[in-house]
Amino acid sequence: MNASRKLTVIWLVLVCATIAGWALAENHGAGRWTVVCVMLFALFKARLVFLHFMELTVAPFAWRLIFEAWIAACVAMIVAMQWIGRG
Amino acid sequence: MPEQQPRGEVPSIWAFITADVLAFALFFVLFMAERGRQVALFDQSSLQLDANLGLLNTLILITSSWLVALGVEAARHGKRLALRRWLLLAMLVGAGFAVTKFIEYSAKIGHGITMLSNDFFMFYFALTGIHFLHFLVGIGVLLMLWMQARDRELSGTFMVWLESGGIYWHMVDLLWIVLFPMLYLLGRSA
Repeated sequence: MNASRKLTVIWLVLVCATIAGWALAENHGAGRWTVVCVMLFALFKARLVFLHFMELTVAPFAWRLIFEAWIAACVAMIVAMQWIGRG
Repeated sequence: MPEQQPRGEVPSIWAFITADVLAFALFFVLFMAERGRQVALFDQSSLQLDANLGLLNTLILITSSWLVALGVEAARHGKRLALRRWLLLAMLVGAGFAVTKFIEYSAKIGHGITMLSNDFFMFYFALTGIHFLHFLVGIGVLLMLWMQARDRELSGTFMVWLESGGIYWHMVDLLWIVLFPMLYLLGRSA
């Protein structure tokens, strides 16, 4: 697959994941696990953006590690604090 | 060295981008900590946001990001016309984000909702406002690249500028990918 075609496939996956995450939230589609699922969609999308659009797959590994840790920490923090907040 | 080598020089934009995303991570923590103290208020207020516009803005940024990535790829193959076409399209699609934001802010202010309404809306206007400033800088960068792409050599310094500008634009997208569920969807999902 050439690079442009790959970018287009990634864009399509991002569009689908965005709509899926939004629909899940609007319909409370996964019950008490809805927040976890919605945030996992965000994690998945963020990784696609920094790995393939920002091309962190070809950058030095340290930069990739920073962004992997950043999104994992953000999503874990949001899910955990939401979980604690519901008492 | 046997390991995979980066494509040319690593743009120094990475240090800036990293500082920026770390600052946003701090904003996310502050938002979630405050939400923890006022869960009902934050969830009620979140429901007053138009998630359809939030969704539209996510799709706009994702699409604009993709168009810039296609532009960078075209430039690597020396395709100047294609590069300029993708950058122009990225700006046009990206401009939709400003239109949607304008509609959204106007509707909120029209309903008497401002930064001072409550803590949720203070965060909402501050976070989306700071993000919007990043967006405006990004549009300026794309415009500059589009103009420069008319007669610059598609190599060396210009390619570093182009890749750096592209990385910055993707960061605007990346931040929104977290902001959208946190501000718009959490109140609906919880």
